[in-house]
Formats: sequence, structure tokens, C-alpha cells
Amino acid sequence: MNLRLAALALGSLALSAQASQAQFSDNVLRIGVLNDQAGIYADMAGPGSVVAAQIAVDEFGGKIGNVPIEIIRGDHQNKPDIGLNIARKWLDADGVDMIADIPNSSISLAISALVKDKNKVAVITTSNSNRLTADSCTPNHVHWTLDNYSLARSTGSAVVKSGGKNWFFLTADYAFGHDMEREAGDFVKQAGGSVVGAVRHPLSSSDFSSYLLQAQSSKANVIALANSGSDFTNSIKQAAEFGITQSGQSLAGLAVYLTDVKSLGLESGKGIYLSEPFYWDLNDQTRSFAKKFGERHGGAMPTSFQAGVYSGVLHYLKAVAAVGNDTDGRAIVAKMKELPTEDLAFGKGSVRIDGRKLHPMYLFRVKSPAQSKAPWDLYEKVGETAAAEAFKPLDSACNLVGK
Amino acid sequence: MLIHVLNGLVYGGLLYLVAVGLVLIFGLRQVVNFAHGSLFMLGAYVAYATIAIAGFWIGLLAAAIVLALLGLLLDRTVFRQLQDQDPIVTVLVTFGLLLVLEDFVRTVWGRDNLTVAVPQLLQGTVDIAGASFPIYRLFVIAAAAVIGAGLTIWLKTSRVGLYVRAFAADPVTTGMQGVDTERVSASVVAVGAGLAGLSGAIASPLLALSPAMGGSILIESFIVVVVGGFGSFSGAFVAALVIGQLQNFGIVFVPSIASMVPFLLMMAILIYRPEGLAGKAS
Repeated sequence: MNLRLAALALGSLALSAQASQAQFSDNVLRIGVLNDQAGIYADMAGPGSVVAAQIAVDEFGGKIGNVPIEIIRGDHQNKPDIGLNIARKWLDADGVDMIADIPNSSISLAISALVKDKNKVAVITTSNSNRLTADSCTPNHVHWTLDNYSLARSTGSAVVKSGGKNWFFLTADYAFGHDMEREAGDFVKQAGGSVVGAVRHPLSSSDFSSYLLQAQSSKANVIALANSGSDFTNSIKQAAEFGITQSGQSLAGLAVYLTDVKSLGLESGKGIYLSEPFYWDLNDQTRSFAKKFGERHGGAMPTSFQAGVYSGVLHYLKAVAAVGNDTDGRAIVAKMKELPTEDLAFGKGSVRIDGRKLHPMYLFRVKSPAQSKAPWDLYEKVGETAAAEAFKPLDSACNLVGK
Repeated sequence: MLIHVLNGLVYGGLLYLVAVGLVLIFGLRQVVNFAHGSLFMLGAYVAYATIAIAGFWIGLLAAAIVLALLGLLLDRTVFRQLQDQDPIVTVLVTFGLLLVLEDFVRTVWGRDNLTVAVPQLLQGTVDIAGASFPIYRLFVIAAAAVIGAGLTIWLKTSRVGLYVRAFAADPVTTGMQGVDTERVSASVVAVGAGLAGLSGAIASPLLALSPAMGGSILIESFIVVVVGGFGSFSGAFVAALVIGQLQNFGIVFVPSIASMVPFLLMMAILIYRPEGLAGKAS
């Protein structure tokens, strides 16, 4: 280990003697996109995230000075041990300087600790854990896109503002469901709404009819679904079957994304409220990014997470160029927090001292089949939470705060 | 209230179609088939694939036929070999089969939750006692009733049905009477697997399709079989209806322990009436 470090130090000394303008390890800037390439997160991130990272590199010109930028991909298969092994190999042997994407909280939390040890960088874009900017914050990673707090905050308060005052929760009976119910419920009450009831279902239930009938008879305006995956799809489908939305109640998904709606279909999904920080059809800039993305990814539109990869990688490249080397991860992350962000997907924004990327969160309503004019024409924007309010206030559990 | 009873019938009906296949396979091959839930799941996927090109009704038919053929194949290659084995061997092998089938589906169709639309003809709701109830759910109840009745008539009146009942009661004596037990067994396993496939196809517009969807229905079907009495058709029928209702009313009245209720019933049956509702004490 010490020998290898010594060799590295010698090598970089030799390099710095050769190249006077910048110090880049092995003269290539390597970015590793680490995610789930074929499993449950493959559609929302997966190969599309690699495309998004490549778009950022191309937009930056493909090199910094005369140092080329290279992207490699890794499949962690949602297994923490595999993810950590790939990351270690990348950082120790393959000359990777930054790891991006990293869906699955157990893996992203582990890798944030790893990059801190090795003084490299992680741009975490597809993980929802609030802990990344609280007790697990490090000076070597930034947290892009969204987290559970911002989802609950945006849906909870924006739906109340648009008239959905009384809420009923249909909650998956495990830690994630309970957290989402509690957080969103707090925001509903803060915004002047009320929670009239809740019912909990076991994880991976098949028949939701009795739960839905209770939600229906509660007379709540909004039925919030604090569940995900097949539970979410089942409850939405069966709600459509019973005609719950026709009778005037709205459905809100607390952890639902573009690809979920796409695979659910508009017939079952119409009218659902959900929150995301990005949608391809928000403005001319997002549409131009989406166009580039679609051309390289079989016509699919980018998800928030893929847009996050693009935005995060682009900002990382700006910081590396400003710092002038790729070896000191801590300095690069500090520079990322110093520079304002700007890109096609999220417009202007900033990175907070705790590593949190700030941008607005939007409330969307899923269109009906009649409103939709194209295969990816899925959302209608109905609300917005400003960047300053969309995310959790600085948490003193993060040791970067208040120093 | 009536709506809840109907919902219980929907779920009970699906459970019955799956459980009766378990009973058939156990009766003929003495194999406790842990892979049965994955046959249900596979039926839903076959329906999904066929419905996309040939429409809903062909999809139902295709699921039943494909799964019946798979049943024949499994009988020949797996169940027949297992029938004289230690129960733990049959559990291990059929559980392994479940994992193989789940991975097969994962490879072919991916892990996403797929959905099947309710057929045009059965879309919408009807008003029942002041509440709206989906037409498709009424169809599920009717389909389960028709299939259940057909199966009962077949078992009670046809010659093969007679063999099946005789075989389930005493395989050795039945074989000695000159009944071709291999052929009877093969066809009955095919019927059992076909029913699992058909119920998966019928359930596909109600449920999100995922490779793991067979798991929960398998567990509840086993509860049905145990409560009804292993090897009893009428017992499975009664138990499926009871569990369907318990499940629903559990959610309505005691939501926090609803998922425990069927297990509590099973435990009570195992303690106080281990032969099951319809079984004979041995």
C-alpha cells in the first residue's frame, strides 16, 4: 500500500516535471458512471445515465486543455459488495477520478465514505437518502437531483396550495413508507391542510381493493401513495378500476418518476400528482437537452436522474478546469460549491456547503390520453417550490456545516 | 359491505384456482409443488405477450395451453422422479424450479412492472348497493365459479375424474385395478398447471406483473390447502372462500394485523383440526 502510494507520488512528480500547465493523473480525466445497468433502476438511470454523462463531456469539448475526458461504466447490480468492489478497482487501479450516478442508498453511502478516504470525488445523482447531506456528508461528494425531503416537501405543500386540503395515506408498511408518510404529512399540515387518515399495507401486496375503498370512503381530496414499485403500480391500476379519480379524489405519488408513469400508461396514470426537479418539456433549454439525449438513446426522454448526471458531470468538469488538476478531490468539490451551476437541464443553480445541489422542485399532474400529443408527452406542470425552500435546511449533523 | 364481500370473492376465486392445482398435483404425485406460484406468474406473462398481438381472449387461452404443456413436461421430467422421494427433496427441487422460472421471466421480460389493460368489453364499473364496482371483477368471480364448477363435474362424473379420486385415495390399489396411473397423473398435472396459468392470465389486468408476483399467492394458496385439508377439493373450495373474506374483512376491521389473519386461521386449524376442514382424521 505504502509502496504503491510512493510509486504514485513518484509518478505524479515525474508527470508534473513533464507537463507544466496541469497535473492530471495518467493524463486522462476518467469519469466512472456506476449504476444498475439491467435491474430495477436501469430505466430511470442505467445506460441512459452514461449517455447523459457523454452529452456533458461533449458539451464541454471532450477535453480539458489537452487532457482527454473518458467515461467508463460499471454495473453494481444493486449489490453493495459488487458496487464497492468496482469503485475500489476504479480508484486504485483504473485511474478513475470521479464516480457519478450511484442509485441505491446503501451503495451511495458506502461510496461517499470511500471517495473521502481516497480523496476522490462522487457526484451522487440517483440516490434519495437525506443522510448524504446530514450525518453522512463528506467534503468529497455532492448530492444532485433530489432527496426524500424534497419529494415530500414539494408534493406535500404544493398539492395543498392547488386545493387538495384533506389527505389520506396509503402506505407501504416498512421504514421507507412510514418516513414518507410522516414527512409529507408534516408538510401538508404546515401548508394548512389536514391528514384525515391512513392505512398501511404489507410490502408486495396484490389486492388493494379494501385499502382503496377505505381511502375512498374517507372522503379525502387527496389519496397519497407512500409506496413504490409493484405496490405503486397495483394501487394505481386498481384505483383506476374502481373509478376513484372520476369521483373527484386525486391521487398523489410520493416516490414516482417519469419511467414509472411511462410503463404504467396514461389510461391508468392520468391525474396523478407527483414531484420532480426536471421534466424534458419544461422550457426550450430542457427540450434541447432532451433532443440530444433522445437522438443517442433510442428516442427515450431523459429522467430527472439522467438529467442530474448530465448536470453534475458538467459542473464537475468546470470545477476541474478551474482547479487545474484531477488529483485533489477535496479541492475540486470545494470549487464545485464555489462556482454557480448552469446547464440546459436545471438552468442556474448552486451547490450548498453541505454538498446539496439546489434547484426548484416542480409539481406535475399526469396527462390524460386525450391531452397527450406524443409518446413522452406525459406531464403537465401545476406548481413549483423555489430552490431556497425545496430542500432541507442545513443540518448540524453534517460536520461541514457551521465551521 | 356487499362490495367487501364481492372483493373477497374475487380474491378467494383466484386463490381457489391456484390451490386446486396444488391439490391435484399433490393428490396424484405426492409432490408439494413450491413452483406453483411461478406457474401463476408465468401464465400472466404469457397472457401479456399474447394479448399484445392477438387480443385478450386468445391471451387467456394461450396462457392455459402453454402452461398445461409446461405441466406435462414438468410431470415427465421432475414430478414423476420426485414422487417416491423424501418430502424435503421435493421441497428443495420445486423451490429451485421456482427460482429458475423467476430468473427466466426476468431475462425475457425484464424486472419492470408490466401492466395489462382491462379488455374493452369489461371496462367500467356498475353500481351495486350504492357503490361502484368494476365489471372486470365480476367477470373474475364468474370465471372462477364456472371453472370451479366445471372441474367438480369433471371429477365427479367422468371416468378420468373417478380415477383421479381413486388414485388420490389409494394409489397402489388403483394401479392394481389396471388404471394407467402414469397417463392419468400426467394429464392431471397438466390440468393443474394449466389452471395456475389461466388464473395468472385472469389476474393480469388486476395486478402489476413482476417476476415475484407468484410468491404471495403461493403462500396464501398453501394456507388454503392446509386449512381445507391436503388433497381435498371441496375443502380447498371452502377454505379459499373463507380466506378471501377473512383477508378483506381483516383489512377493513383490523388493518394492522390483517396480513396475520390467514396465518392465525392456519395455526388454529393445525392445532385443533390438523386434518383440515374437509379432511378425514387418520
